[in-house]
Amino acid sequence: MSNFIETFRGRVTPQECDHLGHMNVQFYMAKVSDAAWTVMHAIGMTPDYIRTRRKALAAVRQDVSYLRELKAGDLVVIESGVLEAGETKVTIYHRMNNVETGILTMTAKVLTVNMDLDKRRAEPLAPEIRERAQAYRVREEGA
Amino acid sequence: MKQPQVAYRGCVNAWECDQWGHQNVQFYLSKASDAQAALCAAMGLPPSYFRQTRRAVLPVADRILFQRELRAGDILAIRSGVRSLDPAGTLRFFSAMRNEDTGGSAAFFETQARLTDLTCGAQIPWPEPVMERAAALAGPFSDIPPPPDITGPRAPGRIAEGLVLTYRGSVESWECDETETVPPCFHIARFAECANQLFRHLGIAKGTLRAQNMGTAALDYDILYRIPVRVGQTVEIKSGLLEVREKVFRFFHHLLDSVSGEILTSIEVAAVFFDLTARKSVPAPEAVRANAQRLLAASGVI
Repeated sequence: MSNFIETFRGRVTPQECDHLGHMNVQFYMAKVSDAAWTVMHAIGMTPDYIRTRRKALAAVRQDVSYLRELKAGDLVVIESGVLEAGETKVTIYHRMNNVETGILTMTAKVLTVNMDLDKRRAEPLAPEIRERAQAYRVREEGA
Repeated sequence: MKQPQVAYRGCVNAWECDQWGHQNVQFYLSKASDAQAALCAAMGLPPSYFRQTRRAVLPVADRILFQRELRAGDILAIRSGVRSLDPAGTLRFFSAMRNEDTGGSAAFFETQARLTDLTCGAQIPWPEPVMERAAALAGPFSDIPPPPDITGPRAPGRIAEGLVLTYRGSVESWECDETETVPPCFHIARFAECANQLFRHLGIAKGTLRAQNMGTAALDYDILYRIPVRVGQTVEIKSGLLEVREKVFRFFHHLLDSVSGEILTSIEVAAVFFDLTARKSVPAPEAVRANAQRLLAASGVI
């Protein structure tokens, strides 16, 4: 059974398209960023956890493959999972598909760290978060 | 029993929140429009269909209940379902926005839309396969009933002399979507802006509200999209008051074409003042009551 979970479902707007006639790269990342909040929720970093415990995952490195262009009006869905959960780091994997064609349009591997929002530095993950992250382990496309 | 499908999934970003610390109304609408597009695709009208035909599913009426505020970092989903696709060509559907962390309802949309030819602006019949798909998707969804009817005075369908001019401007290309018309979210952005002008006529300024630790929040929208709004049009908004209850106050806006004077879009709004700390509604400030009668008379309501 796949551990991927749906983390974003939406649409490409004309405002997100550039003069090349397709969605500009920054908006792939905007959607990945939106998807990340649902990943955090799944592993126990709920909105309430982030507000009260003052800890959240912050991206420090991204490895993105833009596989197909997207045009205004296209519907997209992102599914996500965890590649690795270490002492302070969680590597999240996102894959974006065009809903109409089913074609894979982007993959992103995002290395994140558990950031203390007051100290503004990385700290070890709470054991329960790390444990829950293991339940969403996935493999990269083609890996 | 039929279940509504997840038609949107996302989150609330900090830049979608306004000075009152919650997601601004226009972003409820932009997310609901994404959900509408997903529902159309499920009915057999994917994005490629619209590109090839220069047709669009344009909303004609929208009733929106704002049930709970959403804050930056909240995650949400919209579940949509088809109520009916009647022979006259009106698609009726709902979209329920839920906070996926708490499970609480955040907003509810009951929408009517029509298939429109963008070249001539005429309503056109739905293709037969779409009618069949819609019929297969449609259900009574009796556990998700439509919103109750609005009680109290309704907005007059004419422009009374005493309505307040609350906006004047033009429609820019970046406000339009792939249908080359203004989508609901940009209507709402304008209406939200001009509400502050109306408040000024009610004797309240934003600074005064902030000093009293008060904000405003919308509860209920009833929108009629009468004529699609297109790029380059010069438009204005005239607004009036409908009623002031103890906590809830109701007002309306008509978006007009400045040249023809035609009403393009109308919205009735029910809203409350709320305490920014307790996040609870409070009675309308005294100044609102004092000015209400004057504005009600000018609005052509009484």
